[in-house]
Amino acid sequence: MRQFFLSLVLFASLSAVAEPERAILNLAGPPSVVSFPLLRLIEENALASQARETRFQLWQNGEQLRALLVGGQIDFSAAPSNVPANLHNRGQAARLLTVSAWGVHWLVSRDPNVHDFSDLRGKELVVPLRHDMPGIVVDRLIAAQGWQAGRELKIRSARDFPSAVNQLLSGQADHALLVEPSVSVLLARNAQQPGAAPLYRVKSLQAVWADSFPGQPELPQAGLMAYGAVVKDNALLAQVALAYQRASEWCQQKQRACAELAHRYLPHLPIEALEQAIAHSPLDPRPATQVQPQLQAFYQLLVHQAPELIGGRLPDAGLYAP
Amino acid sequence: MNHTSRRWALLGTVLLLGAWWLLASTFGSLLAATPWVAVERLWQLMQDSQWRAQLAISLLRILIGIGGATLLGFGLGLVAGLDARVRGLLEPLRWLLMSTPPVVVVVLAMMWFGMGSAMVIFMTTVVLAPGVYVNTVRGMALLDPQLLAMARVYRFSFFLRLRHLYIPALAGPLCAALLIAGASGIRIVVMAEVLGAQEGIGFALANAQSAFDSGTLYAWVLLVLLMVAVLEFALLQPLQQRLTAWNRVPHD
Repeated sequence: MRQFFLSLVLFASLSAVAEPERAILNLAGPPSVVSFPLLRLIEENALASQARETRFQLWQNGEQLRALLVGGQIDFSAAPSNVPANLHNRGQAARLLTVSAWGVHWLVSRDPNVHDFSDLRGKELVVPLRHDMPGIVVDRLIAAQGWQAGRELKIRSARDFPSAVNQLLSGQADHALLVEPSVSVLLARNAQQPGAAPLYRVKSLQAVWADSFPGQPELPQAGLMAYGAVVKDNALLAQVALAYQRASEWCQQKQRACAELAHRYLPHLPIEALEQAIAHSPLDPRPATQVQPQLQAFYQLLVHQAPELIGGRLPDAGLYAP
Repeated sequence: MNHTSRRWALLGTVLLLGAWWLLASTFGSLLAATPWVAVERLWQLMQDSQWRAQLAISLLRILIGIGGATLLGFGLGLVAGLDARVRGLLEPLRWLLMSTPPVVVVVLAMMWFGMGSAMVIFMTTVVLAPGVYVNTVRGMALLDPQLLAMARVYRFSFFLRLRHLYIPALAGPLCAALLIAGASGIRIVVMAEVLGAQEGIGFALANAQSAFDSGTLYAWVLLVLLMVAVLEFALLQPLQQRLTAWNRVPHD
């Protein structure tokens, strides 16, 4: 009899594990390295205790992200750090869990003699998204060099990253600021073209920044945010943050396997290029609560240079979770 | 006007291909593919069932979008042509739809319908319907009032009037509207897919661009051009000739 009850209790607890309350968790992200750990989460079924099904939805631009948010189709998303801050400041239920991307932008050049930002003196640099990241950072770097934009460094604006690449490829420009994984894809394709002039990966914007601002060397660029009803469920936030952290570490250690996984979701990007992208925009997942000083310094920069990207003010401590 | 010369049209095509080839060779293969590479890649794409599925999705969206816009524009145009009050009521909406840039419509449609087929079809219908509507109303206005009076005297039913008065009168302007709707419908579907869909030709185009895969990019562009060509030359022009045969002046 006792055994019967025991097995009944066991059965009940097992079925409780097998049948979590939540039906679906919607994960989302852009086609970049910050999203790759989310793919690993789904592959591994790492959130099986939290939801019966976990899905991933790719978004490619701000409009798509907004459409998904408005439609309630996102619980967790990889995103630039200013996105949750902006949503939070505008009264939306958004919280930042983890910062994992600390350097995704690279200087790319046709000139083999350009090795650093300072080598660009007297030259012209193509900068996409002039009033967003990375344009804002470039402005600060120019000031830190003691230069003046237009005098020591000519800035050529580009509407977005693809058009910056086009300017570089068509010979209209020799130096451009680009983003991973498209830097790796571009360099790989360029190397395959017979007779194409070589392109060089010069230096990461993050490294230039660290040289210029040793007191505040880090740029917390992107990470994982929670959105909507899930932000109130602290236990879930902690679980997802932990799982994302582990998946990021896996991706960092097993770069080839991670690239193969990402290729299944982004079949148009070659595995080798994705692997290069992981190597050149490393994931370093840290809880948002632990990197608040870096985040606040970064947000302060945005408030100063582009207040509309962050809702006009520094976000309060409620942004950081869990 | 005499017939467009086919021989010169062929020469124009050859010149365009030459210009394409010249541009592609100066820009290099990362920026632009040559016609030959594009054709070769298109052939490969069409062998692959995954790509054919992308094409099928877009075709379905184009069909429903253009069909919906035509029905909606023609139906409302008929009613508005008959009744000045309806015409007045619809005028602000027509103005609104024709004045809003399609890019704005995509962004709004994405908010309302999310990403995917519903958004693309809504967008296509909304952008195309006003053109069909305006052409229908214009055709109705050109109707001979004496013919209409006669139809009234002989107590033609609505369907008789539609068959013998309205459709023949509307055929010309409607064909023009269909031609424009067909060609621009394909382009609008592709644009909507580039901006906010996870499948279809536009999505494949956006992916090819982000992978710097100019061969695939140009292959899809070529396919879009072929689709417009089939629509124009194989479907709409014969239809136009049939519908407008009654009022053509013989000149050859």
